[in-house]
Amino acid sequence: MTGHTGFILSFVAFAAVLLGAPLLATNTRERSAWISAVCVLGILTFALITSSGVFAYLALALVTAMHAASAWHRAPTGALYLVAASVTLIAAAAAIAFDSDNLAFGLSCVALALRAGLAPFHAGVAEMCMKQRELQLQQSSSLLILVLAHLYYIDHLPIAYEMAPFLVIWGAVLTLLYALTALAQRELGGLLRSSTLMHAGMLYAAVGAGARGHYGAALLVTVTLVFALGGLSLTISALEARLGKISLLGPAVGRARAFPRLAAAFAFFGAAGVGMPGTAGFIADDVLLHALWEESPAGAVIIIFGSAILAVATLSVLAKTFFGPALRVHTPDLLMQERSVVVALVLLLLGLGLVPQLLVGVAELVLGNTI
Amino acid sequence: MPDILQWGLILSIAAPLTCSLIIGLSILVRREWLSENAIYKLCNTGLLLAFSGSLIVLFSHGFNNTAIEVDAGHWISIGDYEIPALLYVDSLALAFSLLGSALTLLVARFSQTYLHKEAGFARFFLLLGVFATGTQLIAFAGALDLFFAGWEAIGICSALFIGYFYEREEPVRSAIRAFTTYRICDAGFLVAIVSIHELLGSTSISGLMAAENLGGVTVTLIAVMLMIAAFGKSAQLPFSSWLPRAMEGPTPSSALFYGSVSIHVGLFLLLRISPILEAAPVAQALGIVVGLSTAFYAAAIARTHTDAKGALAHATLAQTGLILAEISLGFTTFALIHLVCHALLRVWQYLRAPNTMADAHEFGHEPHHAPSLLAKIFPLTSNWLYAQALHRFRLDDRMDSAVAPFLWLAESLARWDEQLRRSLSRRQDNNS
Repeated sequence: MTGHTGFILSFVAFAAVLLGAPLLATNTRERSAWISAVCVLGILTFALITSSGVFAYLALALVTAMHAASAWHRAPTGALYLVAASVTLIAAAAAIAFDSDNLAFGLSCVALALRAGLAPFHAGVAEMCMKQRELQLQQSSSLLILVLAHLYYIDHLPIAYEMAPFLVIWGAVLTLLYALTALAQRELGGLLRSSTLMHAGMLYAAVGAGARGHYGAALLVTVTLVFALGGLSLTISALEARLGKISLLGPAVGRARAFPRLAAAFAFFGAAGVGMPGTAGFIADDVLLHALWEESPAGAVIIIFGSAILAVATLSVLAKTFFGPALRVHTPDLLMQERSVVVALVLLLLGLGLVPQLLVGVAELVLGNTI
Repeated sequence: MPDILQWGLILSIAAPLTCSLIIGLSILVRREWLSENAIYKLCNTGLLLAFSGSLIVLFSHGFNNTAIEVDAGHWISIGDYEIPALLYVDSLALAFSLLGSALTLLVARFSQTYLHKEAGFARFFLLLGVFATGTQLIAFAGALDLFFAGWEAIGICSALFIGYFYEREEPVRSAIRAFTTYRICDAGFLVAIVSIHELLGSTSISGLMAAENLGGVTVTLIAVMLMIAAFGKSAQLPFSSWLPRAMEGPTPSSALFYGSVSIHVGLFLLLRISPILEAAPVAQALGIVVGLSTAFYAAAIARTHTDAKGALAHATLAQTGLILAEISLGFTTFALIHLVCHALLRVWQYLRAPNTMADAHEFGHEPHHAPSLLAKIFPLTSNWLYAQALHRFRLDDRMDSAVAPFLWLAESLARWDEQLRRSLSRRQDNNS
C-alpha cells in the first residue's frame, strides 16, 4: 500500500494503540506477550507498506493465524473462526495473484465477515467478546488493516461495484437485528457482544459503500468501531476483573459511587459507539448515512433506527450496571495504567471527532488514486 | 485571521466545551477530585466567555435584520459530500444564543449554592458546559448537520441530568424514557438531513429557501420528519409523557432544560426551517393540531396536579403547544417573542419551586374552589375530564403498549441468535 507516509504512519500508530492497550491496561509483564504484539505490529506494517496485494493478504493471514494461536485455549470457537479467516485470506491472496477478481472479492468479503463478526460468521467473534476480550481488542488492529487492504485492492473491482447494494442491505439489516438483541441482554458482556455484531453490520454496509467510492466513510466507520468498542471492552473487563461477571437481571446496583471513573469511561465509549457529537462516532455515522443514502435509502433508514436502538440499549445497560442504591466495596476505581489507556482512547476519539479531515482527507487521496 | 464577529462565535461555542473537557479529563487523569470551587470557577469562566461571545456577536452584527454566513471551511469533506463549518448569524440566532447563554450562566450561579456538597457536583458542571456548547451550536448553526450535533449534545445532557440522582430508581427510569423518546424522534431528523442534502445539494440554512422547488409530497415528508424530531424534543403529543418525569432531576437543571432552553429547542428548529414548513401546508396543519392538542392535554392535567414542579411541567407544556401552533400558523416573530418571554418566566418559577411552601406561609395561599365554566355547563364531561387528567390520559400506558412488541421481538431475536451461535460453535456450552 505504497502512498502517503503520514497515512501509513497513522495506521501503524492506530494498530500499535490497539495492540498495546490491553497489555498496558492489565500491566502485563510477560515478555512473550509484548514480543508477540511487536511481531504482529511489524507484519501489519509490512502489509501497509507493500505494494503487492498478494503479500498484504498473506501478511494479514499470518497475523490472523497468530491471533488464532493465542485464542486457542480460552476461546476455541473464536480460534477456529480465526483459522478459517486465515485460510480464506491465503486463498484470497492466491486469487489476487491469478487475477481472479470475483473469487478474490468473495473470499475477502468472507474473511472480513469472519473477522468483524458478521452473521452468520459471527460465532467466533461473539465468543471472544465474552471470553477473551484482550485478544478481541488486539485482533481489531489487524481487522483495521484488513479493511484498508480490502478497500485498496478489492473494492475498486467491477464485481465490488455490482455487489455494493447487496452488502449495504445485508449490513443494514444485521445492524438493526443486533441492535435489537442488545435490548435483551442478560449480562454486561452481552452488550459488548451485541454492539460488536451490530457494528459489524455497519462496517459491512460501509465497505459496500466504499465500492462506490466512499472510502473515507468506510475507513472512518472502521476506526471509530475499533476504538469505541475497544474502550468499551477495556472498561467492561476492568469492572469484571474487580467484581466478577455482572448480571443485568435483577435490580440495578449503584456501582458508580464506588467506580465513578469506570462509569464515566463506560458512558463515554458507549456514547461514542452510537454517534455522540464531538466524538469520531458522530462524524462516522453522519458520513456513512450520506454514503448509504446514495446506494440504498432503505439501508440508510434501517441503520438510523439500528443506531437509535443501540443508544437506548447502551443507556439501559449503563443504568442497570452503575445506577441504583450505592454499592459499598473497597476495590479501587480505574488504576493509573488503566486510566492512561482510557485517556489515550478518549483523546483519539475526540481528536478524530473534532478534526476528522486529518485522517479522511489523506485516506480519500491515497485510496482514491487506486482507480 | 478571524474578525471580531468570528472571535465572538468561536468564544460562544468553544469556551464552555473547552472548560468541560478540562474538567472531564482532570477527573479521569488526576488522583484527587477537583475542589467544588475549582470546578465552578472553570465552568463559570467558560459560560461567561460564551455569554461575552454572544454579546460580541450581537454588537458586531448590529441590530439589523440582515443575515450573515460565516464560512470557516468544512468540518469534513469526502468526495462531493461535506459538512460545512458554516455559522449563521441573524436575529433569530442572536435571540436564542443570548437567551441560552444568559440563563445558563444564571443557573450555574444558582447551582453553586444549591448543589453544594452534592455528590454529583463535578458531573453537573461538566454537563452544563456541554449543554452550553450544544445551545450555542444550535443557535448559530449554518447547516443542519451542525445543528444536529448541538441537538444531540443537549439530548444526552438532558437524559443524564434527569438521572442525576442515580441512586434512586425513578430518576433513572425517567432518564431512559426521555432518552428513548429523543433517539427515536431524532431518527426523523437524521432522515430529513440526509434527504435534504441529497435533494438540495447542501444542508445549509440559507439554502433551505430552495425547498419550495421540491415536489409537494417530498417537502411534506421532510417537514413531517423534522416535526417528529421537534415533537420529541419539545414533548408534544404523543411524546409528552417524559416531561413530567424529567422533574426527577435537580431543580436548576429542570429550570434550564424543561422550563427555559431545552424544551424550546424543538420549536427553535421549526423556526429555523420555516421555509420548509411554509412549502408544506399538510405539515403546518399537523403542527396546529398537535400544538393545540398538547396545550389542551397539558392544561387539563396541570389543573389536577398537586405538586409544584409537576404542575409547572404541564403548564410549560401547554405554552409550548401554543407556540407550536403559532409557528405552524406562520406567526414566527410572535412565536419567538412568546418563546423568549415564556422561557424567562419559567426559569424564575422553576428556581422558586423548592420555596413554594415557604412562599405560601409568607404570602398566604387561598385554594381555588370556584367551579369552572365547563363544570357549570357540562358537569358530567367535566368530571370525566378531571378523572382522565388525574390519570394523565393514560399516555404512559399507551406508549408502553406501543413499545412492548419491540421488546418481545428483541427477546425473541436474542434467543434465536443464541441458538444459532451454539449451533455454529465448536463446543455446545460455549456461548450461553
